[in-house]
Amino acid sequence: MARNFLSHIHAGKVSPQALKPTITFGLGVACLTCMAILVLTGITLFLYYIPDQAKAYERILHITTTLRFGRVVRNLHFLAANALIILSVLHLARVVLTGSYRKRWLNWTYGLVLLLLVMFANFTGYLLPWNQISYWAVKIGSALLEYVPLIGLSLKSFLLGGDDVGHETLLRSFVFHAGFIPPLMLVFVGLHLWRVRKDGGLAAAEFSDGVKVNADPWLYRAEAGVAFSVLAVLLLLAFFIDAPIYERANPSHPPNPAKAPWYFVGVQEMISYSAMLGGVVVPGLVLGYLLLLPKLDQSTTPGGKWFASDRRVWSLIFLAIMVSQIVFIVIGVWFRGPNWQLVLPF
Amino acid sequence: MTAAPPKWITPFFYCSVLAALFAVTLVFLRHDTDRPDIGTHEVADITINLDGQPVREHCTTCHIDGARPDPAHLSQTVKPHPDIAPHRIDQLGCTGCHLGEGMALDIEISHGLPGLEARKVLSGKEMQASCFRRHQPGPLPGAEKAWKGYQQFFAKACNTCHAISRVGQSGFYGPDLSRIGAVVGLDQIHLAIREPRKEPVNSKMPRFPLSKNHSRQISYFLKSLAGDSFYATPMQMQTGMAETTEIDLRPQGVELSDGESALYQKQCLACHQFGQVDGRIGPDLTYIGSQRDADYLYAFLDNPTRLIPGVAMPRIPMASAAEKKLVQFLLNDAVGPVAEHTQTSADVMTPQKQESSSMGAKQLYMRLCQRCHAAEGDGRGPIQPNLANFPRAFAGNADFFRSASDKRLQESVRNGIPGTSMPSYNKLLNQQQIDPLLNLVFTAFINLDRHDKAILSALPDSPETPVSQNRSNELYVENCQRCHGSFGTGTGPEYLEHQPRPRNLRNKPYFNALSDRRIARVIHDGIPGTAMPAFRDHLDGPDFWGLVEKVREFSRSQD
Amino acid sequence: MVKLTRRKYLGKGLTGLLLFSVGGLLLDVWMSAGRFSSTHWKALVDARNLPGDGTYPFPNNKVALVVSRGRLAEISLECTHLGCIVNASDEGFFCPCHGSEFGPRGEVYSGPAPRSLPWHLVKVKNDQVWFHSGKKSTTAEWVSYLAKEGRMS
Repeated sequence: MARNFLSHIHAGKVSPQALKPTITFGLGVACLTCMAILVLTGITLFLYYIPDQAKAYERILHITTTLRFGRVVRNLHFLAANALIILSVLHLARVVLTGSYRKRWLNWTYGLVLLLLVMFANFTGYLLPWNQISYWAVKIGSALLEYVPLIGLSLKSFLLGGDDVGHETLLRSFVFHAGFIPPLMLVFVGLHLWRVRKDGGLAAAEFSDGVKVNADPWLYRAEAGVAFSVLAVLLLLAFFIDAPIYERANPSHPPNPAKAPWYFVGVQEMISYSAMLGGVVVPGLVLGYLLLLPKLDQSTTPGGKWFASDRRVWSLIFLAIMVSQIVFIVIGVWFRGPNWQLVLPF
Repeated sequence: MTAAPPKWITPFFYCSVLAALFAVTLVFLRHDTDRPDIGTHEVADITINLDGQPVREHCTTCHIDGARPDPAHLSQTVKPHPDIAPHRIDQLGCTGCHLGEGMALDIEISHGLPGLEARKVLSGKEMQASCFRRHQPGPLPGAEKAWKGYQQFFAKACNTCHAISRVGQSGFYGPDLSRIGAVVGLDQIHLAIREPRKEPVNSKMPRFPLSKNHSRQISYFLKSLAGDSFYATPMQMQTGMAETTEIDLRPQGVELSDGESALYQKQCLACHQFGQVDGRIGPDLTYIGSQRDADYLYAFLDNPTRLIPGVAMPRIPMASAAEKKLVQFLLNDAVGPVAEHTQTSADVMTPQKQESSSMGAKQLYMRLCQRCHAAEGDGRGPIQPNLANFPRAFAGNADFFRSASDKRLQESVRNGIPGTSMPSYNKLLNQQQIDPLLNLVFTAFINLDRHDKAILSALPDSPETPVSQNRSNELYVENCQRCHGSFGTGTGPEYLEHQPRPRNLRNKPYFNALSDRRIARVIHDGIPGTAMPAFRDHLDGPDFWGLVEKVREFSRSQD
Repeated sequence: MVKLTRRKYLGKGLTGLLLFSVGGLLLDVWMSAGRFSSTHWKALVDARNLPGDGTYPFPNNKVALVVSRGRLAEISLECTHLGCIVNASDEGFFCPCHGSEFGPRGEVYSGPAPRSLPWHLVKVKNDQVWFHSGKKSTTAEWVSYLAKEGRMS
C-alpha cells in the first residue's frame, strides 16, 4: 500500500539528472521527514501537556524529567522544529538559485505559504512551555506585529486573544500549534507535492536523449536514505542537545535583553535601527520580492541549473537578502547584551 | 528507455538505515545514564495541599523523609531533616517552605534554575525567608533575622516608597513589593538593596548605608512576601483579625517633644541628619529652621517636587496637627544648636585671629557644605547621588569660578539656589563667616585667586522682532534636545552620559529666579565643568533669544 | 445564454455572501477573547471620597487614577516598552525595569519606552469610579465627577 501511495505521487520514471544529489540535496524530503517527526513527537507530547498557566510549566518538567524517553522526545521535537525552519529556507534557496520556480508560480506560492506556516507553528510552539524566555519572546514577537500597517493591531489582539500575553494566548497558541496549523500544513504539503507532479516532476535540466530511470526502487530508495539520515542526525543531536528549559514565566520581570525567537531576531535587530524601515518596509519588500519572483524573472534557461547567467541578478538579490538576514540574526542572537547594547558573546 | 541507476543510491540507503538504527539503539541503551541524578530510584510523588490547591512534588525521591542525600550515592542519606515540630513534612511537603520546582526530577531544574531565581531552593539559615509567608510578622523562634528585617524595613523608611501587602501607610514611589518574594530570588533582592542603581542606572532609589547583615535581614523579610498571606486575607483585615505589627522607631528611654518624636516616627531620620542621628541619605535638618522659612517647609512637606523638581524625597502623609508640631519644632527648638554653633565658631575666631578664622571656615565647611559638595570639593559628597541637582564642583572647576561673579557666589550662599537643595545661609552665617568660607573654597579647592575673573564677551542684543516659535522649536530640537529632552526635563537620549546631568528646564523655581540675560549667557558661553557647550559661534543673535524664550516656555508650561 | 450567465453569477454571489457572513460570524467570536481574559469594567474606588488633585496608582489593577480640577482619568501603568508596572511619582512615572521616564500625563521623557502611556476608558456610576481594563486610547478620557450632585472629597 505504501508503495502504491508512493507511485501515485511520483512519476513512474525519472531522469537520472533529477536523481543527482547536487540538484536538490534532498532538502524537500528532509523537510518532509522533519514534519513527520514533528507530528509524531508532537502527538506524544500533547498526551501529557495542559495549556494552562499554572500547569503548563510543571507538565513540561514532568515530561522531561520523569518520563523514560520524555527528554528525547521533547529534544527531538525541539530540534526537528528548528531544523525544519533551516531546511525550509535552504529548500527555498535551492529553488531560487536553480530557478526551479520558472513556470511554477502556483507551487512556489504554496511553498511560501508553507514557510510562513512553519514559522507560525514554531512561534506558537515556543510559548507552550510557559517559561521566562518563551513568554518574553512572544511578548516581543507580538509587539513586532504592531508594525504591520492597518491590520497589525487587530492581528495582534487576535493572536494574543486580548491585548496582553496571558491565559488566552497560551490557549490560542496551543490551538494553533496543535489543532489548526498541522492539518493546514498537511493540506499545503499535499498541494505542494501534487503540483510538483503536475508541473512535470522535478525541475531538472533535461537530458537530451530522454533516457530515464525507474522511480521504483531507485528514487524511493534515495528519498528514504535522505529521510533516515535526517532521522539519524536528529536522534543523535537529541541525545546531546537538550531543548532548553528556563525559569517559569514571570510577567513582571523581563530578562534583559528580551529577545524574539531566533528566526525573528533578524527583524528585531532591523527594528532596533529603524522601526518603520526594519519592521514594515524591508520585510514587506522581501515578502513581495519572494512572492513575485517567478513573475519578475524572465530568464529562458530552464529550471534546475544552478546560478544560470541570465538569472544572475535575481540570484544575487536573493543571496543579499539571505546573507543580510543571517548577519542580523547572528548580531541579534550573540552580540546583543542588556538594553540591546553591542557586546562580545564570550 | 531505461538508464542504469546511479551507483550511490543503494549504499547510501543502507548506510542511512544503519545510522538511524544506531542512533535509536544509542537512545535505548543510554537513556538511564542520561539521568545520573536519579539513577534507578523509584519516583516518589506526593501531593500536598497548601493554598487549597493540590501541589505535587517529587522531592522525596532523593530527599527521603526530607533528608539530605549523599551526592555520591543518592540512595543513601547523610543528614536527616531537623525536627520542625509542630510542622509535619508529610502534610506540608517541601516546596511550600524550601521552594524549588517540585515536579522536576533532576538536580539542576528542581533546585532552581539561574536567572531571577524566584524558585531557588532555600536551605539552612535562608529558611527563615519563608516563615512570614504564613506567619504574621513578629518575634518567632527560628525567624529572628527575618523579624529584624521587618523592623529594619520600617526603620529605614522603605515603606515610604514601597508598598507591601496590607501595611496601612505605604508609599507608591517605588515598586510594590507585596509579591517580590514570589518573583525574585533572595540573592537578587539582597543585590537590589545593596546596589539599587545597578539596573536601571537612573533609578531613584538611594543606596542605604546598611551593613551586610542588615541588608541580608531585610532580604529575608522581603523574600517572605509572596502575595496575600493567610494571616492577612482581605476579609481578615476588614474584621481586624490581622494587623501588622507597629514598630516604634523612637529611641528608648529618652523624653522627646511631640515634634522631635515625629522626626523619628515619620521616618525622617531614616534618611536625614538631625544632630547626632544621621540617615546619610538626605540633607542635614539640624539647621533647617534657619535655612528655610515656615512657608517653605509646609509647602515642601506638602509636595517636595514642586519646590525641588526631581527630588528623591517622597511625600509623607501626615495629619496637619502633627505636621505643624514638626515644623514648629524645626523652626524654634532646632535653632538652639544653630545659634550655639555660630557662637562657638565666633568664639574660636576672636582669640586666635587670622589663622583660626581659616580653621573656623574649615569647620563650617565640614559641618555645612561637605555633605553635598564633598570634603574633596569635587561635588561628590556623601549624599550627592540622592540629590536632584549635582552640587557645584569646586575642585578642578576654576573656569566656572572665573566666569561667575563674586556677587553671584555670595548671593548663592546667602540666599540659596531656588529649585535645588542649596539652602539659604543668611540667618545661619554672617558676612564675617561667609567671606572666609568662600576664601577657603577658592584656596583649598578651586586654586584660584578670588578676584581673578574672566572678561566675558558681549551678549548679542535682544532683537526687536523675536524669531518665530517654529524657529526656536527647530533650534531647540537641533541643539538642545539630545541632552535636555523633547519636554525639557533634562532627560534627552544622551542625558545619562553626563554628570552633572543636563539641567531640568522645567524647574520652575530655579528658572523663575534667573534673568533672561543669565540664561542667554549660559547658552552663549556654556557652563565650564559641565557638558553644556558654548553656542556663541553656532548661533546668531536672534536665535539666542529665541532659545531663551524656548527655555522660559518649559518652566512656564506647568500648571 | 444570457440567462445562464446571470444564474451562474447569482449562484456565485449567494455562495460568496453565505461564506462571507459565516466568516464574519466566526471572526467576531475569534476576536472576542477579551470577554474571557481580564479585560472588562472594574470598579476602582468610591467617587465620593476622592482625594484632591494628584495621581493615585493602583498597581494591582495596573492603572493610576489621575484627578485634576474636578475631573478624573485612568492612565495605564503598563510600560509601553515591555509591560512592567511603572511607579508613580509626583512628577510622572518611572519604569523600574529599564528606566523609562514618563511625564505626569504619560508622555515619554526618556526611553526606551517607544510610546506614551495609554489611557483607559472611565465612567462614574453609582458613586464608583469604573475603568475598562481592555479599552485604551492614546488620549485621556476625562470624566467629570463633580457633575453628579456636586459631590467632592
